[in-house]
Amino acid sequence: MTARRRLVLALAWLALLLLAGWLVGQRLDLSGDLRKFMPSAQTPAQRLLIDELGEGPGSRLLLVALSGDDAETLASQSAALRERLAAQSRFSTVANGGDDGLDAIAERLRPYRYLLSPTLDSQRLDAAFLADELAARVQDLGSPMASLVEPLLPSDPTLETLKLAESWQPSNAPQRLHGVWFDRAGREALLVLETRAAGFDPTGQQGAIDAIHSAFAAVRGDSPARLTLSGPGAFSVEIGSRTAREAGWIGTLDSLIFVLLLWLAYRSWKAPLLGALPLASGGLAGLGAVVLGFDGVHGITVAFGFTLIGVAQDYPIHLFSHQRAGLSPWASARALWPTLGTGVVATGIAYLTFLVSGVEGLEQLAVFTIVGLGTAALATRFVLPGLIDTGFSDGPHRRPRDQRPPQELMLSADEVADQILQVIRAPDNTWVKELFVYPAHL
Amino acid sequence: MRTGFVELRGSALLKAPLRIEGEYQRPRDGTLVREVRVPYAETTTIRAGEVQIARAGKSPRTFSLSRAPELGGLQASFGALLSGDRALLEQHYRIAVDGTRARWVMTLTPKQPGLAAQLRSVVLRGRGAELRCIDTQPIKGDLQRTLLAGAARAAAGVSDASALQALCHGNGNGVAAR
Repeated sequence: MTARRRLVLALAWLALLLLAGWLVGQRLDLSGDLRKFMPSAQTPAQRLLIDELGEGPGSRLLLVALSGDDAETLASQSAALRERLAAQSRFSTVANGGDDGLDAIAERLRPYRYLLSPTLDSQRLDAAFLADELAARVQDLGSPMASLVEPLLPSDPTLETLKLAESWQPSNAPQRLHGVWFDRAGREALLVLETRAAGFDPTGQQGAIDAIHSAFAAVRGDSPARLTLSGPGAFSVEIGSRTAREAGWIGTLDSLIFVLLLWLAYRSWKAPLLGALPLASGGLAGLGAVVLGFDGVHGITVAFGFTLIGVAQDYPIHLFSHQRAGLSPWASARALWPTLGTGVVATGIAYLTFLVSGVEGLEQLAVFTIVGLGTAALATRFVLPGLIDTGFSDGPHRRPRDQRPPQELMLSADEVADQILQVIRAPDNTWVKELFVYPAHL
Repeated sequence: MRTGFVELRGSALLKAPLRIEGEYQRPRDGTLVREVRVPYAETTTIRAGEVQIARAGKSPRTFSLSRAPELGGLQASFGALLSGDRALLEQHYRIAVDGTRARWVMTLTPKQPGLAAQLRSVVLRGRGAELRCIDTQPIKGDLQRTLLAGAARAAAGVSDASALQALCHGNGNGVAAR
């Protein structure tokens, strides 16, 4: 096989990986649901707890505070914000303490006014009671309460709805200024929102938070008011975007350093390409296995999983480093295999225990790691040698000392590693040999 | 400071408008008491944005003034009018004045969007220093009319709607008042 053909094959492998990556990406349903890393529920109470953690009102609550302007402006912004957000289907509740009368009582509860109210538990709905109530309603119509009571009367002549509303008033609600909730100091107008999306649904929460920000931008005008958001959804979105940002630049930096290191160590531009193929194959195979075997992949599985199978990066490096002039890459791979294989199997056995943990996130992690490491090892053993040029490398590049240009004072990373290796391998350093149990074939 | 009133409350739920008589009182600044005497006894106290309605033998009901816009209009305008505080009135309303000193009309249109969503206008009519009639037009529902002072006295025994309107507008009051 010519060098050109090997390169074409390597590029074909890369193309195949890109295609597989695209395919997996299509089916990848990334989730941030932390419940996947909790033990599966056994009893009904545990099931309820786990359900409520993700879907319950507590996890779907978003708290909003408006500050930075005078209370009256903030109050009108709070009212306008509520009006805009309540019109959106993303939110099931938008409350700012504003007096919206009976709209605050959910529509679906209203038919049950007589069932929910305690009035008829002790009182018969007889002619005398009804006459008394109706007389009181006439007075209500003549009182300042008229506009409040009038819409209710046809369906609720004894005003049970009002009794319910009164009994549901929280006893320690935030203080109300200019008709809306404010904090104790009167500087921040407060709103409580409930999203329809579950707390750990990152896309749904992101959408809700974007909607809040854009509504506030429209409501604020040129006032200096600020918006503060809190709640499980806000946290998960903040964590998600920060993690993505940091993972993005750390990953890019890592890849650059990796490419640079391999290129420097082996003085070959092919080294980074060939070195990356087994790891990329392992990662994709692991991810593919999790996508096929589970319902949604947890972000932690992906992030932590790639860290765990990062050790697979060593496999091609071992192979490269065993290359000697004239030695067939297949022979190196065969020589390497017993140690490599044993290591992978041992790691695999360790991760097998995750599979019986009963925690879905850990099970995903186990599948990802075992499949990933296995694939990377097999690719190194059975595919990679076919792509290495026979004269590819003589181990990490070693420059004879006497050829070192005197002005070159800086040592490259591989040269530092090299110096350490030479010290360890020096025949007179037996104590070092004893100190480091160093497998002869590595 | 006190003045009698006659109020007509129209509602789709009532066969005929409800006629209420009583007295408005301002025991001190910032407090308005509306005492109904006929056809039943009821005392409403408006203070610090809260409305409290007390009836004989029942525990009093309290709710926010913002829920009763027609009353909010009354309280702000009544207090401001009585104390001659035009600046306070203008905080809440656009003011349009028409007529002569002997027969004036003052139209208040709410400025705040919240109030404006519930209340179209408050029309005050009077003669000299006497506020005689308040017409409150909510966005939804019927016009609510309150006759005060001389007009309220003149309205005693009058139940015909057009006669009451004439009293409110300042026509034909001479017969009954004197």
